[in-house]
Amino acid sequence: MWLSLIGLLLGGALGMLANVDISNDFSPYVTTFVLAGFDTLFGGIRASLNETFSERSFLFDLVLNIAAASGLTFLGQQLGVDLYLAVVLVFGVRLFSHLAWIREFLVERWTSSKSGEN
Amino acid sequence: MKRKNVMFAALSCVLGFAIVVGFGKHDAVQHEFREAWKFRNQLTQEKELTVKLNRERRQVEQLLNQYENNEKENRVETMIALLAKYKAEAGLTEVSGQGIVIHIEPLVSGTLIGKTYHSLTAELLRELLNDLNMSGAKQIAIAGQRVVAMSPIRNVNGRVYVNDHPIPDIPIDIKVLTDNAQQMKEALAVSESARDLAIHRLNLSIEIKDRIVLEPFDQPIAVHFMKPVKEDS
Repeated sequence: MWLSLIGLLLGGALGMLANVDISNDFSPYVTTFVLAGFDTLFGGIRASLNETFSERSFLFDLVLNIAAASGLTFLGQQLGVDLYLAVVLVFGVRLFSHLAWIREFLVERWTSSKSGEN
Repeated sequence: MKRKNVMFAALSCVLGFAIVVGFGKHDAVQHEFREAWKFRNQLTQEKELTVKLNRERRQVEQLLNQYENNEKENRVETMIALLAKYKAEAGLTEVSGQGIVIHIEPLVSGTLIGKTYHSLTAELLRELLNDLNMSGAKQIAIAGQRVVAMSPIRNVNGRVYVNDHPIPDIPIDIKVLTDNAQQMKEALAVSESARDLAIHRLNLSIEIKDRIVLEPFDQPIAVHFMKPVKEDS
């Protein structure tokens, strides 16, 4: 997990240095991409804590999430409806549920290790 | 186990990159640009104001000098000269000088089944006055009515009133005193008010004259918010 945080910071630093400017038209795509990515990341962390992690399903999940999110955003733009908001909502809810699970798991592990020490 | 962590880190790295590129940076650049432009504009305005205030200060100081140095009779003379100057500025005196005469006439002459196709409104006149003032008009008279700071321009029962006098039907003349008549003519030719007049089927023809005479404002100016100050001594 620490490695993920370092990766995030490294990516942020690279982004600052790269000086890339993207057009406003693509900002919904970036939003959905970031949310889909975070959903997959936290899903992966959850699975790895749960010891059910599989590389294949992680990669498959990532590709499918990003494809679905981008596809829906594109469809929304073609229809003139902000469909990307649906993507944001769904991934937002999933993200929180992953985070809640991870937090619960970590708290449980910490309290059990404390009680084990005692 | 290790490979899994590397995958997480790689994905995080890409996400971090996307966040910075997608949101923060883009907005920051836009904001910076917008703010710099805004500040530059403001700075120019303030500089112009400084120049104007300095000029006014110099004039007032000059006047003060005149008061202090001169004898009593001369002081009265200075005051009379100043009063005349302010009256001229307020539009209470007849003025003459170089300027332009704008004829407003129908774009298409004639009527169809008794209906005229052109209409001059107070809004159009006000827009034209704004354009004239922007291009450096010193004094303006619309169809013999001198325009001063307090001149009302209104629509009343389908007629246009300037200084509470109805102006005659078109064609009418607008006289404008200006230092640079040629420049004003060119500015008016491409102005929005000329375009809007054309939409209302009215045509502007502009004539540069070496000497035009503007009638004085002939009504009393009601001063509501000023009182004479009594001298202490």
